[in-house]
Amino acid sequence: MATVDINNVTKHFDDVRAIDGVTLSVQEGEFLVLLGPSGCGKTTLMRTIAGLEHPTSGEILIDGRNVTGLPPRARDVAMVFQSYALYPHKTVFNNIVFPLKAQGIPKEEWDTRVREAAQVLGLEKLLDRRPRQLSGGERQRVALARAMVRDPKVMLLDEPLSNLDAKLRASARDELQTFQRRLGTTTIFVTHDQVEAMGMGDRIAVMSGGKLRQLGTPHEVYTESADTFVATFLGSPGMNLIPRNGYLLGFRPENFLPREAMPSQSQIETFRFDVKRVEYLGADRLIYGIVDHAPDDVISIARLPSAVTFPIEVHENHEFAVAHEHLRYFDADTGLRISPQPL
Amino acid sequence: MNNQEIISRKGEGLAANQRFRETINAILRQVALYTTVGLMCLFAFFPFLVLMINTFREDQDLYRPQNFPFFFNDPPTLFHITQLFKETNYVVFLRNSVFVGLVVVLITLAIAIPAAYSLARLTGKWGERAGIAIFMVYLVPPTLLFLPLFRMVVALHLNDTIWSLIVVYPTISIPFSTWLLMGFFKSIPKDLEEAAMVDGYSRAAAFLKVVMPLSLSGIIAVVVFTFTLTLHEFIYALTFISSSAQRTLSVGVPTELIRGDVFFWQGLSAATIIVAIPVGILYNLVLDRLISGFTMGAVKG
Repeated sequence: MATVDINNVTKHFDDVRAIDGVTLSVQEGEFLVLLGPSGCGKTTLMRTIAGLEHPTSGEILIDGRNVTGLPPRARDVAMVFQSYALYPHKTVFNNIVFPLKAQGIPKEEWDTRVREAAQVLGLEKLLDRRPRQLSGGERQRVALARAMVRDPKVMLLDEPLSNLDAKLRASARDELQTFQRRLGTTTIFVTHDQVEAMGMGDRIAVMSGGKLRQLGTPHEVYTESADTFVATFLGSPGMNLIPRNGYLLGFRPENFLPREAMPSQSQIETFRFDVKRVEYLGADRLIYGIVDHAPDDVISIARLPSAVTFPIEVHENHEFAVAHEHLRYFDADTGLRISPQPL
Repeated sequence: MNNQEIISRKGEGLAANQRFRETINAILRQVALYTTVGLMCLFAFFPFLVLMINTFREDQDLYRPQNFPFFFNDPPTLFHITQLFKETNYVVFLRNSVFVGLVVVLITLAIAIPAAYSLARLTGKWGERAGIAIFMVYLVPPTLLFLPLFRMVVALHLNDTIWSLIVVYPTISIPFSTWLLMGFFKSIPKDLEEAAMVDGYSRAAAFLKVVMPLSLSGIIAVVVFTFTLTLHEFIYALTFISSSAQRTLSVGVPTELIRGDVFFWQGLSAATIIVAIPVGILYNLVLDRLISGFTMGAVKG
């Protein structure tokens, strides 16, 4: 268990600023998710923490010790690669024991420690197999076992679930989180999948363009998004943004409902909504359309739960509404969140 | 017997007929396959067969044109093999060739492995270009180089010793091997080395413990290529060395077994086959180690 402090780290590849001045503290035992679209610098940031990349400037502290100039082997971090990077010529046992050999741990302990790790992850029967004889989920667990076996200060996970099929991913998400809670190892998890991020993280760090956009609990980043990037990146679909009086008015699709479906006592803002398309998704209905006075290219989306059975037809002009507490306001130029504006 | 029974019997008869035809077809396919394979094997083995037979033939058997050329018309003899080993420097050539071969293989591995790895991993886009440039060096023919290289060998006081060959052969083997190994190292996912480095190893240790075992088939290819090269190389071996005791097989055998216009065919056959058979067996053993399937499953699901 350890803390990780990233102080104003930048990383340039020639002209590209992969990381652009990120400052971030990870607390002891925390499960922190680095979330962002591909190319946002999240993987580079993780590799910088692991020591596989050296920052152009800034420093990295693990457990208060400055490790910026140290090679990966001196940092006591473990990493699970997106590809799992299992050694194909070694058996599962030898894959897991490999880090122990490097740490100079006495030979007598190897067997017990490998078996312990294998037992936690249900790999006891696979120890003699080679990676190519394993399924995707098993490979992922071997990679995890190899990471945990030496009890590292920090675990780094680089999109470890992205190679699993959808069904397996859900159970692996659950296992991974239970596992992290049990070990209590400080964990940094990189993903571009907001569902994984929301479901697993103690806190989420949203990144874009090499910058840290927001750091907070899943609830905070979702409901109190710091800027338009975070607001539109999170949620499916993301937040609707409508230009109005020189600022951007934002509201989430699930809070944008037909007037008739709103509780009568709440304070609401009403919109005439020109319905263009209706998508039926089983649990929800997505209504695409244009809000009155909004430009033609700004499509807004309403997400009606199946409980709202109110019929909505294409080409209908219907009255929709959002409760005042669900309205968000952003600066039109910087995209940053601003205080409530006159409607 | 009612109609239905007749129909079902007929059906059974048809089914049996079809099974019979399928069996015949399967057998014919097997026969065709093995005949083709057998002919190919005979074709490939034919030169060896002729050499082996000729080795043990008497002079009058070999030189009489009306004799059937692929069999012993007179009883076989060991005379020419005894002559090869007792009256020529064949054993010395053999020893020289093996020694030169082994030393050149070691030098090639020691230089080509680190060169190929650094070009494949560490120098970015220039690695590729440097690799191509190195491969170009391999394409310059020895016929252009043997005179200038001879001057250098003389300057090093190595002329007329096998050390001249040990110095010069790597100029051919290293560029080719570097280029070949670059391909192998590139095919090994970077993730594997990085995983080893995060697991607590230095880059060098990660290379030795992860990259090397996975490139074994490439390294074997380099050994085979280099050793074969030193065995059959002729121009340098001919021009750099004049005394018989320093010669290697490729030059020693023709100079000692062709005197003027007299060809000692049985001796030549024996000299060739004695080298060719063990080398052939050895190569077959190692080339079977195709480890390409090895890297499968390392990456992605």
